[in-house]
Amino acid sequence: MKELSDSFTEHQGIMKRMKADVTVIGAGATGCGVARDLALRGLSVLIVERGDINSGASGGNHGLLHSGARYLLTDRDSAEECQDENILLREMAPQCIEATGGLFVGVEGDNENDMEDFEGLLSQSRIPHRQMDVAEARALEPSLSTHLITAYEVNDATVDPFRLSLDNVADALSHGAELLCGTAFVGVKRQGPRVTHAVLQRRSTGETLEVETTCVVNAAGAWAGYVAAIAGAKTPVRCSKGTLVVTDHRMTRCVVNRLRRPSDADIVVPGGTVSIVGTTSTPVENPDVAWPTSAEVDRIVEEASALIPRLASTRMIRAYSGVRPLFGASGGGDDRTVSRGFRLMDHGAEGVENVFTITGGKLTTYRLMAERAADAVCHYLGTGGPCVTRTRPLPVSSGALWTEPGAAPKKWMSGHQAGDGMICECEMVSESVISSLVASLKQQGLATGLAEVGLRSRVGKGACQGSFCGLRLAAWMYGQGHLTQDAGISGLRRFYKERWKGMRPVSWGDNLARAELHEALQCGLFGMEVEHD
Amino acid sequence: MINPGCTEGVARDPWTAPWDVVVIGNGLAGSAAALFAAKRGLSVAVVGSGSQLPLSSGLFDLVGMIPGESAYTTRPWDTVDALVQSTPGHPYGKLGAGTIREAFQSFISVLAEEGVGYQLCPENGRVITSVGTVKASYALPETMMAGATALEQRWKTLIVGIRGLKGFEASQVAQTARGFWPTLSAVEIAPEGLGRPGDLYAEALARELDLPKGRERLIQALRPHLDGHQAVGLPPIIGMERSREALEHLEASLGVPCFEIPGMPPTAAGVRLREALDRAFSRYGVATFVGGRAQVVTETDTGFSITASLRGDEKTLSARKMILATGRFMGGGLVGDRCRVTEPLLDLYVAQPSGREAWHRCDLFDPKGHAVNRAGVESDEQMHPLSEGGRPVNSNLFVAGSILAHQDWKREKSGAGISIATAFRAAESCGA
Repeated sequence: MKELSDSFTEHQGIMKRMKADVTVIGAGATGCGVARDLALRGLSVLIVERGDINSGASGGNHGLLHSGARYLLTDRDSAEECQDENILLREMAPQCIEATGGLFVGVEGDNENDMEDFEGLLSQSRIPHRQMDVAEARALEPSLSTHLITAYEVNDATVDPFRLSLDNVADALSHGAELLCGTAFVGVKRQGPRVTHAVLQRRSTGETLEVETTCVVNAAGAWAGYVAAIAGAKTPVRCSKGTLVVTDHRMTRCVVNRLRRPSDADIVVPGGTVSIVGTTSTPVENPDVAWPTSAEVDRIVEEASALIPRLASTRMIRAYSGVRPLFGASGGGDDRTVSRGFRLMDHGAEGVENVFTITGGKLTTYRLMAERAADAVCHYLGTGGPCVTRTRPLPVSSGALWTEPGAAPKKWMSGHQAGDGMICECEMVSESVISSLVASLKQQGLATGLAEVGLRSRVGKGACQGSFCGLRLAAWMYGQGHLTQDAGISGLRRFYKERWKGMRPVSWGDNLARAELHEALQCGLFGMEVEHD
Repeated sequence: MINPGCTEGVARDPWTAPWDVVVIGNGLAGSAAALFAAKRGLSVAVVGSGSQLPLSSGLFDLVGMIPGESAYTTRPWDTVDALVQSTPGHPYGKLGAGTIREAFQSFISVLAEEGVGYQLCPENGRVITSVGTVKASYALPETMMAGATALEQRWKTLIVGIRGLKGFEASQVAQTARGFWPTLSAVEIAPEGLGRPGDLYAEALARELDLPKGRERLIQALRPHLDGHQAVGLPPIIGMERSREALEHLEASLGVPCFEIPGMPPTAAGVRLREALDRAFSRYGVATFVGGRAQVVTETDTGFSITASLRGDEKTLSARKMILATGRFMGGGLVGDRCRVTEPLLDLYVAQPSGREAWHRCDLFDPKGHAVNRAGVESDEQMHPLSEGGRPVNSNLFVAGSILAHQDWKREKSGAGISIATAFRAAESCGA
């Protein structure tokens, strides 16, 4: 409860005086990208985020840098966009990308006409590819099913979406942008067709503030419809929940796609030391309550086992859901037929001329989306130079080094100071790593609570899901003065509630014991369900 | 580790001669059941895979609350009645207060013989935890007892952290609890010569405090910070085999009551308990076959034949009666696949909610608790496990502890009480 208020007080003085050329709503991949793009063009930017970096779909996807091949059968424009951005991002943000390569494999029993069509479309596209002998594919990825009938190699890769957004936002901040997390966009002041002020509300304290602004970019993802409505405009967003499951070890070297029309559980994406298996697609009304369910997890395990049989007996660490913002009015029909392409809307026709919405799209195309939105803003304002993100590499930022599974252990094994204690034993996150994260949070003017540290590191993401390291982290943060009064209890409660969403649907087998130990400790001993808040 | 025990000097072949009772499971319920049965003069062997006891806080709860209520009870015996009334099938409902009281008394007297003292608190003792919350419990280890008085009287108390000991931060305890205990203060000390540099472990520290030299080092580091404090709270490190001696030494030298603060496992308090029970096994001639799990149990004319894999060796024991105290998911007494919960050793009927989606609620801290925690084996009043039709499975088979259905020990704060009291009844039934 008290975690956020201190940094806000420090901020308040600045905020009251603050004017921003552009107010960007949403700090997902797109919003962070827009902020960086505009800041690099010399505009002053304020990023307003209701939660924290990547709270929505940007933090709830499989971290795939698409080759584009996935969309060949259904959406060729998106496919080509993906391919172009894929090539560009490898050069511009190599620190966020692992060039794993990807396979598309056809499984016995799937539609063979689609497989033929795929081959034709692939050879007409500019996606680099190679048809592969099934035996070669299995030699490359021994965990693949023995029931493969066809295989293609493409240039899929993986991208760490947290690192990507954190690096984007850090570069934006170093070019004068401001970031307010835990702050909701709740209203506007207008003069005729122009929004003159954005009204913001600090969620921890309820305080409101007004920011004078000449332009608003709505990059709120699944919440874009709500944000547009606050600004007096309309954005038809269709919310589609996608659920994914994290395995306890990395199942494959490269990205493995099932060669069929987009369907449930047709991809296995490595992410450092783990693999991510997904995805489902279910329309949802309210993106705030999109949690993974047992049924979705079961469906993923059953379907993906056709690709990798061992998945059926693999321990799952957690599940998570993201809500895709698909462009178009919600209603009947299959979400998968809605284009994965993006849309830039100016709302002039609705009588609001300086509000732009950028929605739809994918993580792979975030930069292009940001470029288009920034172009529109600059055109409207008649200022700013050309986009430079096609040629200027994304700098590595110190606060974004620890999101990748395996990064902290690598650092530890390559050398550490005597006395640098281990906070998270599952993921080997040490005190010095947390120290550096807290320092970067402070530098960015953000709160230094458990949730903020959790988002920027692997604490709580390993086998124990925070049962032990959450407690150790809280203890250590008290010792360092980062937590005071009873903020640790409310912080731990929030931290554990959040982890629980992902533990619950995978709680079978050994995970039942893990859940039991977790509850024995947090409820049985500490009574966290009882006394506080 | 195999200790075939000795039964009154009678030469017996531990592998072939039938035991009166074989207890499967070496946690709190299994250990208690074995000792209760041995005290009744029965020959007893324990087979287990080890034990989760080192994870225990050392506190023995009877009942803390009815799930959904917002505060700990100060009248635990009334709450036991209320719990039985509101929870059909609750294990306490099969026992009665008299049995539960007798079980607690008998169990703590066994531990007292091994130098581990417990005190019963008829209104539940309240102590501060390492995260600064309050925990109420029925039986407190003597090393934690002064903490209950200190909290009750709001003594001016110094919480002491040890530099390098992870998971215990004195300022966390003091700052979190200051709202209801304003006279708390915190200090971190780095006692010279105590523990090795780098990561410290509570268990190792506790063993160092078994020795006067280790205590002196702690006392020396602590003394300069004492001024005006009426009590000293420490992480659970006050001795392992000689905790009473260590506590008395600290209190005499510092001149104020000292107490341990329960916290994150594994704790010295849990290890201390495990070791005390192992010593009691020797004292009462309980044979232990640990380090593996019972794999197969078959019914024989005279009882049961139990095959266990013990550190790679396959052994078979025979038993006239058997007590199943294998715990829940942590202990392996229950297992769940994606569809249902089963009892893996004997395939006993497991009462359970239908479907995994119903096992757990969306909110971890939902006051109503999670339905899967009430899944388990049903029993009659003699602790015979019941079939789906409600009939005893076998007149010589008994069940005890957290594997039992219709209780949620983590929310009721009834774990130790259910284990000890159902173990007592199961042992009683074996002796009948």
